[in-house]
Amino acid sequence: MDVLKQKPIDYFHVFKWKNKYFLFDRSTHSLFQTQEEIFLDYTSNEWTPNLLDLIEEGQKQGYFKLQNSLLPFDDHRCIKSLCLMVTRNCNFRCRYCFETSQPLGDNITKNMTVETAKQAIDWLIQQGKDRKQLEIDFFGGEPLLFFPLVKEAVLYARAQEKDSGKHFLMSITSNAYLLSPEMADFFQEHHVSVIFSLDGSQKINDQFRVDAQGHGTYDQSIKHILSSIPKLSTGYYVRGTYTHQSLHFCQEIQHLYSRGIKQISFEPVATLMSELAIQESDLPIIRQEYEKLADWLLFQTKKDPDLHFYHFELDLEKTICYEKLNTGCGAGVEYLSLSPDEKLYPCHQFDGRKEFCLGDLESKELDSELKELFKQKTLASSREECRNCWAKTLCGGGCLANNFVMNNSINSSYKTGCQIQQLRLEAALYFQGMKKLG
Amino acid sequence: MKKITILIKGSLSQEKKHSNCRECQTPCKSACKTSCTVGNQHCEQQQEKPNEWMF
Repeated sequence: MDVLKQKPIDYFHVFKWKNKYFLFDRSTHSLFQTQEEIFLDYTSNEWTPNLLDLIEEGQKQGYFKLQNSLLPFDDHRCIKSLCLMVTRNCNFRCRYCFETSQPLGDNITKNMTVETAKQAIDWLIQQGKDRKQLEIDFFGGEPLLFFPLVKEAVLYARAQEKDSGKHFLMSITSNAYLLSPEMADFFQEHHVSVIFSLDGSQKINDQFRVDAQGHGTYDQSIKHILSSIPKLSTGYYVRGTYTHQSLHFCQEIQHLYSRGIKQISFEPVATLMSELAIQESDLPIIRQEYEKLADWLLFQTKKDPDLHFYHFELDLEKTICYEKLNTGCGAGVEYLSLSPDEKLYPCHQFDGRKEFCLGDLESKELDSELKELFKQKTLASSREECRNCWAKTLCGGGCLANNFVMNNSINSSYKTGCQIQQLRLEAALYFQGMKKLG
Repeated sequence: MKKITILIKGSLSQEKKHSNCRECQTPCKSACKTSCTVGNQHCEQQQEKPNEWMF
């Protein structure tokens, strides 16, 4: 049999979650419930009579095909997405911030001008070739320090839509400290999605997210977030970060929900700071947290379908195409970040790193060597760790910036990050599977 | 099938129509912001109406 040349994991992934067993078919993204004996056979990663029966029967029904290598494929990716680093100034001094961890020096330009923002929008329209949907994110620092610029840029982008035939999807990432009702009204009216950063309860949030004087920021941020939510309707997410010192994120998510926040995303920190960095020994706790969270969400979403945890929102029945699933990270290829001094970087997390500067808005050609490097490295199959990973087409190959931060190289995956991603994806599959079971 | 019961029939296919149109959202522009995931991105070709919000 041809299948004997491969391993079971090349076809499917079997996992146990809360005393239930699941099988995920890599070729169709189908999810099955299965039995302990299949799980035990699978953990050996060798073919057993049980697994051979399973694959023979499944293949007859259209499942468990071996995924072809993506290459060659028609790689017509172009820049369609731009992060505008409105300012490198921030009113917060978050302990884990990647922006403040880089030695940018005092002589850098810290604030973008309106002219640069408008020039960037025109540039993006040109770069976007035949793409209809273009994306702009206002980022920083804290972009609301320069709300008039954001406002003018949003209006300018909307004004260009008709003539250019493009549609802009726009978002802003903010700590909400300066958010006013008028700003929230503006974002709703012009369909700008808002991503608020907040790490949960006052105790945890204020441990990490402090202002320039070192004071906690929870009270002011949550007050503004809560007052804007009725205006923003579904156009917002609250995004938290968990660290080695704040691993119990389930209770933080429950806290946010208890305050009336229903669209929540929570990410592990990626930092080299030893006291905050997630360690491999943290993984059992992180698993327990995702278990608790999945069960709580299963219970709570029955009563409140408006509650959403971003990372569990897998849509296996309407999945995106195979090519996109294998080229997830857009950095340097579809997505660039523009600094206040008009320099272009592969993404917001590479901002200010000279070795990754691709050029500027005036450049006739961006750095072709760097562009090619990112074109290759954003293929999930470019890394050995991804090629054989069951989660490859759910994860998309991970985050090149996190690889760089943690390994000082974009060439190898950040191992603990991958382990967390796999745990989170299993939890998401469990959540989706259990929802079907009712 | 023996020993497995289907819960969700996935729609992934390597021969999908409209493949690779690249109109869908760039993952790092999403609500996670610092790590890409593609499993929860939506295909623009399968949306009933154009996307207005970016997450």
